[in-house]
Amino acid sequence: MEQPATQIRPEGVAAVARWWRQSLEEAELRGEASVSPEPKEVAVQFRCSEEEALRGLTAGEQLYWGGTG
Amino acid sequence: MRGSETTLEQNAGGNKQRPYDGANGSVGALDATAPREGREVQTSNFLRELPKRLFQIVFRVVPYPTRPRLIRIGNPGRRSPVLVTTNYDLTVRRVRRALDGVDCWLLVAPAGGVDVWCAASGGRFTIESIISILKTTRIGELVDHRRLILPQLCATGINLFELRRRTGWAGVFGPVQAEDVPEYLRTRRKPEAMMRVPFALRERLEMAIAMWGSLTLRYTLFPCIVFGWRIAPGFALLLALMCLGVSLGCFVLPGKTFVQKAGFVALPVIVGLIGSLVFLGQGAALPIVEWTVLVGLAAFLAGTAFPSYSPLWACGYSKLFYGASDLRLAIREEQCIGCKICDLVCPVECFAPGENRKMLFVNPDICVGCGACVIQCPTDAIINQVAEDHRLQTACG
Repeated sequence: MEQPATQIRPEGVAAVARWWRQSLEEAELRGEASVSPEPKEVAVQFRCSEEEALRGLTAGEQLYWGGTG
Repeated sequence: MRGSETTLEQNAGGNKQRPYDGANGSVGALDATAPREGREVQTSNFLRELPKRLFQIVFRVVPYPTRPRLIRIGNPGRRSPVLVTTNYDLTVRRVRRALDGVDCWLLVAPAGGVDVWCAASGGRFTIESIISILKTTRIGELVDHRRLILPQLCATGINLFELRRRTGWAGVFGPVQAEDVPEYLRTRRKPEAMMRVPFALRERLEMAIAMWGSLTLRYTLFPCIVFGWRIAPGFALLLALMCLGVSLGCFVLPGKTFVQKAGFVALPVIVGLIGSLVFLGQGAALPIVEWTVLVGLAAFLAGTAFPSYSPLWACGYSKLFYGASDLRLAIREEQCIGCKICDLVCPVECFAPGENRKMLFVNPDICVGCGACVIQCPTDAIINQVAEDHRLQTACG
């Protein structure tokens, strides 16, 4: 399994995860299907690395779909 | 209606551009043309498949592959969920039964015919398995979203970041038990009970039968060589008794190890055998010694094998052979963001949030060492201290 060589900054991952979970919840309220954005675009938006964006998106998705309420 | 299937052969047969025979690209057309199985067929299948089902119960450890394929359950549409499981025949059957009445797509991924947890832990259910089934079924053409619902127990082998990077599909971990999937899909919530591995009476009974099948198959030969073939049925019976005793009494039997617990199951049998000397006389001494040895052997085998068959106790082989566990978890507090994903993927409730919302490894004693938390932590906050110590020693040395 590949491992990224760069150090993961927890703040970057946390910010993206929070944002993406919230976006999914808002899309649900509007009754829209949500399309996951490209990590590259998110990385630019949050000024984090692409790896952090990807991990944040994955974590946000998991929290939206598996949160304990 | 259980659902209908599309095999890879069918895909390759008709219109090669379409995931289904005769499909014109719309889901409505698929509904009209895709083959379906009726209840009557299911009933006759049950009798025909009875020997297979019995085999799968008794020899649970033997892989039993079924075709990797896409199964359409109910009337799924372009926004219906896509679930994934491994191609172990028993698992697929149970998942399909659990999903009866839910409109969804089920991808049966190639994993050597092994159940989800074993396949993921043993490197048979991998991202490559998922890539393979995504490509061959072309499920991407049938749905608008890119989200896979994976069984939670595959978190030991499927890294979600890697999955996203390599396929573009986002993975989420659903409940541990297939029976909980309909409720999970309705509520999008995983309460505590859906995240933890249960080991209820029925499961303990199933594991006892599986353990008995495996031990009888592997270990009857040796005592037969020593004591003769006449002991074979009796030894198989003893193994059944020990497996049942240890498995059903795992929570209540005294003893720290399962060999000790099995010893408590064996004790009344040994006392009974020795006590029978009073009635049978000295002439029966030799057979009674023989059977006492066999009872002890059966208890030892059941006691050592049990953790490998239970989801709640870590297999002790690593400790037995190397003198130490190969996994010791530690949390780097500065890296933890309190997202609780470690808790979401833990099958036995090892984690809890601390005062500052950061996660704590609160139950090291019940950790089964699956390593799912290490793999899935998005910030690499959870580490295997054994490997980390080795890394530091190597770097310093």
